[in-house]
Amino acid sequence: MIVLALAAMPFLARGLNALALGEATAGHLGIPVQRLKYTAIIGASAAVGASVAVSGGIGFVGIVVPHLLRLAIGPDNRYLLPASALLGACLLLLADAVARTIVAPAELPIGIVTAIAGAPSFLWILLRKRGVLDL
Amino acid sequence: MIEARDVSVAIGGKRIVANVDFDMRPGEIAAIVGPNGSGKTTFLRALSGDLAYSGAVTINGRDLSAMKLVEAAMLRAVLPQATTLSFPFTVREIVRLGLLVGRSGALPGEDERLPERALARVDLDGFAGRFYQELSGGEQQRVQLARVLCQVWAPVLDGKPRYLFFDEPVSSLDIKHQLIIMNIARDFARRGGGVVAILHDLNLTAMYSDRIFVMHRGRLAATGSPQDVLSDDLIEKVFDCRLRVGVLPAGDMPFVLPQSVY
Ligand SMILES: Nc1ncnc2c1ncn2[C@@H]1O[C@H](COP(=O)(O)OP(=O)(O)OP(=O)(O)O)[C@@H](O)[C@H]1O
Ligand SMILES: [Mg+2]
Repeated sequence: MIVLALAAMPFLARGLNALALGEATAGHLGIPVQRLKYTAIIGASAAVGASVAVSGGIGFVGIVVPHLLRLAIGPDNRYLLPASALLGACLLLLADAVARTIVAPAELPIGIVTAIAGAPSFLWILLRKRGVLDL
Repeated sequence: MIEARDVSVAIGGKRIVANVDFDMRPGEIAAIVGPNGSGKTTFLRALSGDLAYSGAVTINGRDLSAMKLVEAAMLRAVLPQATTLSFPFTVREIVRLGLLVGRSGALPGEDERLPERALARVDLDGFAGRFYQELSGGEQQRVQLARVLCQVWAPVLDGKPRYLFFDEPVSSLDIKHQLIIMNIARDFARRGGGVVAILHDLNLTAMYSDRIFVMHRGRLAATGSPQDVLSDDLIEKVFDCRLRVGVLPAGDMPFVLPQSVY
């Protein structure tokens, strides 16, 4: 299921870009807006469901990574979607390594590691967007 | 050719456009004028396939309600009255969205260069790399125009005319850029396409349009050539203010001089 969702990404990316101009304009450009929304939502849900079934819930990765990357590489979903998948996977690997080693021989739940790193990052992104913070 | 017969639009049970007949031929600029809230945008949205309507609309003989999104996207491009952008895209990325449907009609291999050329046409050379959200209001409006131009770059595709639907294309532009944009519209029409433009500037309307549709409270109050339609009586009544319609000495082009609110 995850592979299917990954394979669908390139086909959705351009349409999702057009949606940034609003649903009406995306429709004028020939994008089937309703179908695109359903496909994207169902695809994302299926992929998330499959991953959670394997690993359990791990917070903050999905919410922080795309926003961080949008700041770094811009909002073009053709690059943003695959980059998010890659960076998310890398960060999880890192978090897993930290979780296994930091209190060795015991093991920290990985969700704690991602939350410790993720919550402040998310707060930072939020405050920046609101213009409260200028870092 | 666009033909709309007895078109009515209701939103939330309220009738906003009532019994409008509208015709335009390729080669023409059709202007829609009328006071705020008279239903111009609503009518154009129906023509764009955004709203359910009663009555009949055909574009190039094809029934609009039976048209697929992609077919419509190849046939006409729409400039909305206002556009918001939810993510920080660059100007180039916005304009490129006009190429999504892939039938600009430019020569093979030229699509890649169209965004730059379209930007040059709206006098935005060198803006491609800028962030859309950091542009001025008039510059943003011209970027949207460039996007729309890319979508139907060739006014005629496969022997069939294509159309530009403009909802107040020059509302935030200075005089020079108003003229530049209206010249683009005229050029598009001269080369065989058609333009439907909602305008508030009656003088620009007189200068550029072949036919004027005057809307008033959701209905068509008058239609005809600028010479026929722009008269003191009609315009004063529809717009509810005092004004003078004159005729320029050179030629027979009418102009409108506002005077006062009653
Ligand atoms: N989605 C909607 N829901 C309810 N009423 C609407 C909606 N859209 C438009 N209207 C109403 O329909 C009327 C016509 O609106 P429309 O946007 O077509 O006017 P307009 O002629 O384009 O005006 P303007 O010159 O201000 O752009 C207005 O009174 C407006 O309040
Ligand atoms: Mg309007």
